[in-house]
Amino acid sequence: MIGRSLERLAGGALALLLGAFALITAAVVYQGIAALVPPPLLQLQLHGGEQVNGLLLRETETELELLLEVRAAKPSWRRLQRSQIVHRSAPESACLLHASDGRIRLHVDCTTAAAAADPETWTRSYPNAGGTLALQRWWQAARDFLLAPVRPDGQGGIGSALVSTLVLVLLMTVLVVPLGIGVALYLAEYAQDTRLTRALRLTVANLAAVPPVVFGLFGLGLLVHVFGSQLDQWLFAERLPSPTFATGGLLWASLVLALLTLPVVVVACEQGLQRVPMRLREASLALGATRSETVLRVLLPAARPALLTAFILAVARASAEVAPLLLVGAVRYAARLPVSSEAPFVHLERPFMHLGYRVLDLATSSAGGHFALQQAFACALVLLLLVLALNGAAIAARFRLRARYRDLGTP
Amino acid sequence: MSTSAVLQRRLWRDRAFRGALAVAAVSSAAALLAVVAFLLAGALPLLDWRGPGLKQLGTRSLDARPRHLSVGRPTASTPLLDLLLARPGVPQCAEVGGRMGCYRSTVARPDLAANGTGAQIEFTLQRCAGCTIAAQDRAVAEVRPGQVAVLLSDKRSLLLADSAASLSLLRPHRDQLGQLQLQVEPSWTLPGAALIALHRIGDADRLLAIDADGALSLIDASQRRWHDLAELQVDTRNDALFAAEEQIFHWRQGELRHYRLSRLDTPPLLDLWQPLQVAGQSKPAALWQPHSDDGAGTPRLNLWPLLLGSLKAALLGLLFGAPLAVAAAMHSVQYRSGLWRDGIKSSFELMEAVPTVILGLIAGLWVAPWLDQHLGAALGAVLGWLLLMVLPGGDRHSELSDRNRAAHSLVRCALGLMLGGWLGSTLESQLPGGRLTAWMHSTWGWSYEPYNAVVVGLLVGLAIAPMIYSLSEEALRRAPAGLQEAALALGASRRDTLFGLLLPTALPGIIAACLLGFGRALGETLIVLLASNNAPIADLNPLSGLRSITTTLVLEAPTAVPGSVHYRVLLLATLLLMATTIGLNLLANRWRARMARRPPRLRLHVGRKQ
Repeated sequence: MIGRSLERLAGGALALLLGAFALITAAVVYQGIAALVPPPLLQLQLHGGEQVNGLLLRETETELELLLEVRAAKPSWRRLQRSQIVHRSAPESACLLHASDGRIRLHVDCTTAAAAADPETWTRSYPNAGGTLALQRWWQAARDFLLAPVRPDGQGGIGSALVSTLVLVLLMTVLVVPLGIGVALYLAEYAQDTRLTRALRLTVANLAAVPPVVFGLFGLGLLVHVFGSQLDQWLFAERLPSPTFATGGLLWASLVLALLTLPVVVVACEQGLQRVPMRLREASLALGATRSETVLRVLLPAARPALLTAFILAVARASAEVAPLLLVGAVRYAARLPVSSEAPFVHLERPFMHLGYRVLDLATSSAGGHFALQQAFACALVLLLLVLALNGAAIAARFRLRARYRDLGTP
Repeated sequence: MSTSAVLQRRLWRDRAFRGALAVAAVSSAAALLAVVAFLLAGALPLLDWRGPGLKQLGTRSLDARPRHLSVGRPTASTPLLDLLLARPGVPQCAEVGGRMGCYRSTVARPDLAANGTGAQIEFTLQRCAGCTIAAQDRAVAEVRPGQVAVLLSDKRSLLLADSAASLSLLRPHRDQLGQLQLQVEPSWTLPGAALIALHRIGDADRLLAIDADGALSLIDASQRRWHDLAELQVDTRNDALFAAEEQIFHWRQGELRHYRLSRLDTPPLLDLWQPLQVAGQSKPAALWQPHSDDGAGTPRLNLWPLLLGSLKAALLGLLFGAPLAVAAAMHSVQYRSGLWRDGIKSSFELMEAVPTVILGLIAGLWVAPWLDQHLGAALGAVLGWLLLMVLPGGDRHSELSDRNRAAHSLVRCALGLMLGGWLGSTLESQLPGGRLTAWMHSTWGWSYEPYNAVVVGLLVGLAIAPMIYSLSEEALRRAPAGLQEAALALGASRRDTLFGLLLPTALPGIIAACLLGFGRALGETLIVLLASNNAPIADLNPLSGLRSITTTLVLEAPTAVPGSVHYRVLLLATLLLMATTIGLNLLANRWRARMARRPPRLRLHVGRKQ
């Protein structure tokens, strides 16, 4: 009886966990896409004859929240009770005028002369129009979300944050993948079972047990405060006291992430190497190759899918990690990208924006209100898709890998 | 080139390659050691349990008793009084927010003062130079004779020490009518003899105190703590003592000794755990206030709130996550087709990859506010789920085909959640107030903080569940196939094999998985940051907020000054955290090794009557 109940409970637990996961993913996808759909422009007739036009920001069972206008970066809102409204319409001809400095004006009827504002400074969009205009509008919103320049308050397009994240992760990969493969090769191919190598193995394994934020603190305390200020004194003494490397930046962040992902790379590579059949090694050695030649020309090519998996897993892990970056240089707004067409091309000392940090910042900043939250979800969606796609790729690579080893004749 | 040269080169290359790999391995291991060393080096001064002390720098012979070392000069007849009360009538003034605040002692009744029994202390606030002082800017308090006093760093409070070695704080404040009052706050008593001198050191409220027996101690006025300075004993009748900042000069019998206060900033290790009596509070409390804002100087750094916060989040996370994950793993080994197995496994792997910032976002924006409004519905859903799962029916669950089993679980799960949720919300709307949280508060006095540990635990549990799942599933699958087949061939049902064979075999692995999950939960940062109110509270109440070590690091480390006590305490907390997670990891490894080493004791009753 108890066994039966437990059995069913276990099934329920599986369903619950997967359901929660599906729910979270669905919620982020829905909210993220909804954030990109511009709200409709409503024309409301109130009791007492008053007429209100506004963009519908939020709608609950009892009230509506409207954006009336944005004048000199100051939005004016209005909250209306549903009971106040007599008539509600969304005229197709209504249009939204955006100025380049962020001002917004609304017009119910854009065909009239009153709406014919200066077309040089005002761009026009039709939030209620259907058909191709609606598609165009959505396309415009998506493009703005990706490409618009980021504003100092942290809102605006996510393009630069995306680019910075990718640069950071790539730099981390350059640091960690050769090192990780080297460690895995040593542990799998060279290390004999001595006390020293066992200690080594244990230490590398324990790197995975260190909470990510501890690496962040390590980066801040040792890399930034000690190494960074020393570097500044040697190389950038003319810029002191303004810090160059003695503040969080791309280099330190990528080092911290490299430390964080090292165990991932090592474990994945080691597993891959262990699966390469022994007879390949033996055949290569028997033919007179040295061990290094065996490793470089036989083992590594045979384990290539495993190395790819390791690489993808490291990238996925690194792009999902935010906590250590809070300590080593992720900022709300960086005026310049960490990459440019100028001389060093990759500016290792610059603070950078980051997708995950942006989610956190938008979710916790009180300034942006509803817009900020929507943006947070849109960012979260991009981050989620990125991470899930990478992990999916790693899983697919692993299945391919298994098939390949089956061909090679290992269990 | 000769063949042997080529061979030489190849061998040399081989050795170099091997060397390079060894360097890579050693350097990556060194990274962990570097992290530990960095934390240890930073926290090392705190690991000194001695606390502040005196260090002798040098001696010089000086025959004549130095005259200018007269601040603390004792004579046989008068006690060693502080500057203020030793010279009655001389105002002690300090600028307070652009105004001049002055203390002076006045003799209340000349006849009593002559007998050494009573005096008054007067505080005046002068709005401008040379102004007449209004009556409301003048406050007077009685003081007993023989007291010593010192002006604290906020430049308006006096610390008084009386003959019973009890200390009290005198603080001017305005009452509702705008009249300045001098309030004597409750005193605390030092062990030892009466204090005869107090001297402030530096900007923080640290005071050097000498008692009647000549023992020196260091008092932290804002934290109500003291440390004996046993290194120096003064003969109050004959010696002379002079203190300036951290330097102390002591003259005795023709010899001048120079001391320096060492480890002045570092509290001894024990002080990081002891609750603190704060002015205006009835009970001592465990406080984490790195930037104490009441002007009383030193930060209040008690590690309990952070440790308990981390523990609370991780334990609740484990409580929610581990049973679900282990149960899910137990269920998923029942799936026989590779497609289902791989599908479920891969979904959990994807789930593990979901950035925790997104889980935190959802916790902070949806789960916490929703639970605050609909706690009844949530509880109902949980109970409904449990009930529907335990309800009989579908007895041959484990013998079903994969698809039917999945559909069966899913339908029961969804039905239970929906029915329970509906019932719960219906019942909740019948409550007075319409909300379970409000009702709990009014009926039982349980205050429900919307951003509480339960919300954190739920999401942390969801974050660690995939990891626990993967490891336990692996452990369950590693049970020898031969045994499994033998059991089935003997007529055992799948359920019997699961509970009688797979589970006992995999138990060490499952325990290891839970330990690793717990370690992961301890290190969780962003969920805790976004889903809790980040209030450092030292309790284990799941309905109150929390602040973990990790969030404290994220919030405070960027602004903490390297080398400050605050920074060092942060490093110490991190060291504790890291030691715990690594310890858990090692423990988990041992459990897993045990699984490989020692065969389980199986009790498989085949064909038992149900």
